[in-house]
Amino acid sequence: MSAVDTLMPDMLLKGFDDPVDAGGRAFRALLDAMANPGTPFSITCPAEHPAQLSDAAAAVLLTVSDYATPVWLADDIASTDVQSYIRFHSAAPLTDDPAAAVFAVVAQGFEPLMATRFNTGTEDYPDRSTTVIVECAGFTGGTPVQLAGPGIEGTTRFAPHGVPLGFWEEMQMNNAGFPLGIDVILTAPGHVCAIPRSTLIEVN
Amino acid sequence: MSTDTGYNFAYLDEQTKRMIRRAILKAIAVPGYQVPFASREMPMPYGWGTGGVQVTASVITRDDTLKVIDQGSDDTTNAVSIRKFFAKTAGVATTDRTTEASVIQTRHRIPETPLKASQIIVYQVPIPEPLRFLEPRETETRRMHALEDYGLMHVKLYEDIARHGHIATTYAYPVRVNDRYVSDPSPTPKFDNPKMDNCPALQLFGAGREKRIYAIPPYTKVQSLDFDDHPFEVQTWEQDCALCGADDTFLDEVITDDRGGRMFVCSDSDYCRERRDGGHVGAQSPEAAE
Repeated sequence: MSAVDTLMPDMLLKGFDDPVDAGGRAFRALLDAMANPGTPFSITCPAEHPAQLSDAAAAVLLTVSDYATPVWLADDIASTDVQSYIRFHSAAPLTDDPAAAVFAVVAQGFEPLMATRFNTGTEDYPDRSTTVIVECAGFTGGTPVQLAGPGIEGTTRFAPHGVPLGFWEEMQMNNAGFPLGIDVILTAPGHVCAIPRSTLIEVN
Repeated sequence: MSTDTGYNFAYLDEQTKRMIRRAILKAIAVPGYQVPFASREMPMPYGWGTGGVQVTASVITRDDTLKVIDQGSDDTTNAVSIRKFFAKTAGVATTDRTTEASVIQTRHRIPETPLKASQIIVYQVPIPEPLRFLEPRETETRRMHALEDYGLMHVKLYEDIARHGHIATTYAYPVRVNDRYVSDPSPTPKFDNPKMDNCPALQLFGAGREKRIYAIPPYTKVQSLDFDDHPFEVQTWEQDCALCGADDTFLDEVITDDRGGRMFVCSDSDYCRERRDGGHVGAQSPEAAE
């Protein structure tokens, strides 16, 4: 057992085995997801991740967050484990203010997303909006919705389960505010799927 | 992972890549909108594709196959040096075949071979702001985009018609992306504009000196600006390609002697070679001369 293990048992979980290579591959999954809304992509995940965070959500944070991007965590995620994991691996400052967050993580469950509490950007700089990672149980078996818009050939059907209560209605409102709005990355074990603000949603 | 050059994979450090990657994701989420980014100095001068190189360096992985073209050609200086740059710093496979490439960096052309889903095309962009030559102030052009105030651009196109009888803009012809942002397709000939519409490939644009990244996701509506009575149209040629006989490609004029001799050949060197390999013959190809 090394000195670090002795001093901080259970504290330091491993991140990516090879941060450069894995980070690049994980980003390509994110890029594919954002460019093809409603289509799930398998993502390269870190070797270890805290229990309160899915492996895919951990992969997203380690890939795109760093000291320049304040991260907001929902209450049920903000455990000491998760906080020290993010601080150690990405050095991202943690914030209590969802409107100040560049990235936010929302736990799986039925709590409404409350999309408007996040930063939706400004008319001059719509890019300065929060990217919200929404944990869900899986990408099939939920209420099906029909998606259309940039990145989608015609329309596509998507039915994730375990999304927040009223999620699709909130995402419709979010799309109505285009070009302002948040961009959502849904995460399920080992996979990511994006719903950017540009996606049109039809709830059947 | 590092390479034997001593640089990080694909030259850029990881923090820079993360910053560029965040900008790219936002650029895709707001198609056609120019995302500011902290462009780095690259080991090549501005105007040589520093923006495109930074975007490529941030998206490329070891498994990719890279193609680089300059004015349609794989073997001009700019294309050769950028291809060598990534072969050296990222150790990636390179190709000059459009169909084999997963990432294509381009200066001023879109390949004639239709792009596929899962391919990424990275454009090198000198001036990303389509309104810049009409309104020099960044604060103003930013407001104009925010308010969707593109009247000035239509006035410019109208003045073309008033002066020349037709829209005289032949390259960097402005497009409207997803019915919202007017964007600059980079100085590609307007011949290539229709290829951007509903394209299955992801299109990324990098402007190094101007520090902007923008994107067009796959299957996105890209409309060239025009008028009902002066609809958008692309260039046509009276000649076919002198080497491969193609009658539907963008042609370059090549001066062959000092007595007015000239020939027209495909600007896309890979497409032209593929056609010649397939047995197509042009008026001045060696086979025809025999």
